[in-house]
Amino acid sequence: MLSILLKKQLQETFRSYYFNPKTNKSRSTAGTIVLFVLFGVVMVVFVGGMMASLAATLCLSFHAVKVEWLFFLIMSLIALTLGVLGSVFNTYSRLYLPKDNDLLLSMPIPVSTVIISRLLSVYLMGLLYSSVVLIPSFIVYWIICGISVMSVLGCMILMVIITVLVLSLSCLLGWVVAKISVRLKNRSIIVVLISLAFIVLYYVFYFNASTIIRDLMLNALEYGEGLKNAVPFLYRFGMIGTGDLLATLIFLAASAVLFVLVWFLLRSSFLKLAITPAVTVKKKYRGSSDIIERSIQRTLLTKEFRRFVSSPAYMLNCGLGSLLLVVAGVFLLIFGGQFSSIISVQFGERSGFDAVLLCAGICLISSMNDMATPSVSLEGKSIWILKSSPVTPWQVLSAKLLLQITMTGIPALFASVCAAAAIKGDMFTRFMIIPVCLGYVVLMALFDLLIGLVIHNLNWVSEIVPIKQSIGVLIALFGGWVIPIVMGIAFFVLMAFIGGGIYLLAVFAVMLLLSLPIYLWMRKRGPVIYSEL
Amino acid sequence: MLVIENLTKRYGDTVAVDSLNLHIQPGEIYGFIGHNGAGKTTTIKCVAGILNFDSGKILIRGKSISEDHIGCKSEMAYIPDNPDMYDFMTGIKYLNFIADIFKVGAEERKRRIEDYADRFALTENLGQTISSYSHGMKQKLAIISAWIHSPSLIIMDEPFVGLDPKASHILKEMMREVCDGGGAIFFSTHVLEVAEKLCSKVAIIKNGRLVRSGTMEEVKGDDSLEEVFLELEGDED
Repeated sequence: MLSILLKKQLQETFRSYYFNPKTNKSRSTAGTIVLFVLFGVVMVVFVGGMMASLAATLCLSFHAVKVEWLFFLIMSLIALTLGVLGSVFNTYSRLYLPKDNDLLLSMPIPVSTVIISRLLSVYLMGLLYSSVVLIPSFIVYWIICGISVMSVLGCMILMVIITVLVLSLSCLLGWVVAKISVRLKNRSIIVVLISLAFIVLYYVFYFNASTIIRDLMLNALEYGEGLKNAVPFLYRFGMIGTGDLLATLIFLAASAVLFVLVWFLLRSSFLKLAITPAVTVKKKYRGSSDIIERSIQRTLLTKEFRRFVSSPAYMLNCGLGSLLLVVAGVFLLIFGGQFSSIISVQFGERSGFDAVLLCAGICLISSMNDMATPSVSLEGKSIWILKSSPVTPWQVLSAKLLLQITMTGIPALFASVCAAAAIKGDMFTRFMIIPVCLGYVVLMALFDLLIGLVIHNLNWVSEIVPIKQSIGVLIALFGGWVIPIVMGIAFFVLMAFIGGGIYLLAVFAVMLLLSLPIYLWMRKRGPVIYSEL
Repeated sequence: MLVIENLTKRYGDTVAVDSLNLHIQPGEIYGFIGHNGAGKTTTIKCVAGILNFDSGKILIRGKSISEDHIGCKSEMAYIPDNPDMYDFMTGIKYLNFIADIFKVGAEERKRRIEDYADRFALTENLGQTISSYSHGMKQKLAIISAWIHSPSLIIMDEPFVGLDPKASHILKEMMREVCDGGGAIFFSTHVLEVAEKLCSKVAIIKNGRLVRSGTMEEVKGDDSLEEVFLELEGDED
């Protein structure tokens, strides 16, 4: 029984490698091989290579002062963090949200068998994330410090311990997420906030990583000794990789105990969490106050807005720019003057280069918003509602366009006003930041909708497919970078001949010229494509 | 009310609907029956303005769906076989959305929402998100949203699937009310007993072609509708 479920679970995990999610048809063997090779290249060459480089840097320094255990400790912590962060949200959905819960539980299959089969896919995910850190680290260690039977054995057991810890912690966090989800009402906002907190933490660590690593390398011995005396537990943990038998046995037993405890927790709560429907807002119909009359255009825009805020994935992947634009505006108010001074020193006070650079920066951040692109595909199976309603295709499309213009335009206006207020230079140049940024927002909204309309997919099962895994979204996201990059580079070349204000005016004119044909195309061809969906 | 003339719809090389002709008069409940894949849903989607068709004409109160789709859609309502609605909205927000689209005034929509939601015992659930609704509740919501603008023509694809006996009874009553008020109903069903008792006229479609249509008496004569249907299905074999 377990092998049947495991096979199903593996088929599910790697489904996208064998089936095209857009057409739901089998991929060709060559297509599947290409996907696996690409995946391998990304994991081994890029991520693995990055980790190998970090491991080599650390290992050389730590080996010199004989604190190899610190190397294993740091790499294990990175593997643990990556494994847990990478699989925590997956764990929740893989354990508790599969659509076949009811089907499997209605069949004569023990609940524990269902849980084990689900845990295997969680384990595989954790193994994947942890391996890209651990395997390069082990190889680097064997190359630099020499290879022995005990160190190979130690590394293998460390791998088992880390992956079991990742599995246990992921399950524990997945259980907490499930518990919270059953009780929470505004789940999408909470998920967005938690995800943003993770993103902020990641970037704080990322920007400080080089300083931390340099500091660690310079003071490896001092930190090693301090840590060994203060937290012997961590010292012991690091010793596993070096082949320390006692440390290996202690942590092997500890991870086994932790897993058993987590297993009992999952086993006792699985049924309740897997089949309990999430809390629904028990709001009652309040009569007249619930009856709100709007114009067609307004009601379509409200619908698009509700769709946007109902999905954490939609907000995080297609609307993060709105938040960052506000942050950038505040940042500019505080540091914009300093930035302007630095640029003035380099390129002269009247160059206007600061205005152009800030303009390009705001445009780049604005390009992170591309909610118009997946909005067509997101209609999915409910497209019959609008198609059978007395609304023109253009009314539908313009609501999608307006969502992006509003969600990006308002924070972009704030950021550009902050930029104009913060920098030095003549009034005209500073003022021109505002129309250029807003012109860019309109141009990108039109471009993103065009892409979403041309490359659409209404046959998705998970909304992640149109939001994140579509070629259209990729084109919209990276296509948006072209204008700001060209804007900055072109002015660098031209600034000896043209002032910042006039240049920005010309950029604004170019944006209008680019927007016009897309708009005209959208008015003419857009409704035709929409009506054929 | 509804005129379908020589309607042909192809999917690639497959002819889903082949030169179909139907005339539905005000006051008629018109049943549309056929085997799975016969072309019922395709026909209904063409009438609802969801699918473009290759040739033929569809007129709703004299207006062509191809030339004046807004005018036609304002006159009618459509309920699909599996009503996928906006899961992110609450029931009342969805009804407000549909009422806005069909420009139903606040007083009128309030009266109709309360009337129909009470009939289907859905009032208590209108404040909840549609994602929490059962299939039957979604079906009831789709019916209320179709009735909210008092359409003169209602197109339904398997409307009784998922409804409990009481809700089915209420829907039949509502269908008769529409017809008594001069409107018309065109719906597909596999439940032949319902078609036999409820419909004034019936059309049987097979492999995209109309094989029989007319008043219930004309179509079935002294036999039951089931016998006629099975006999027509057997002709092919």
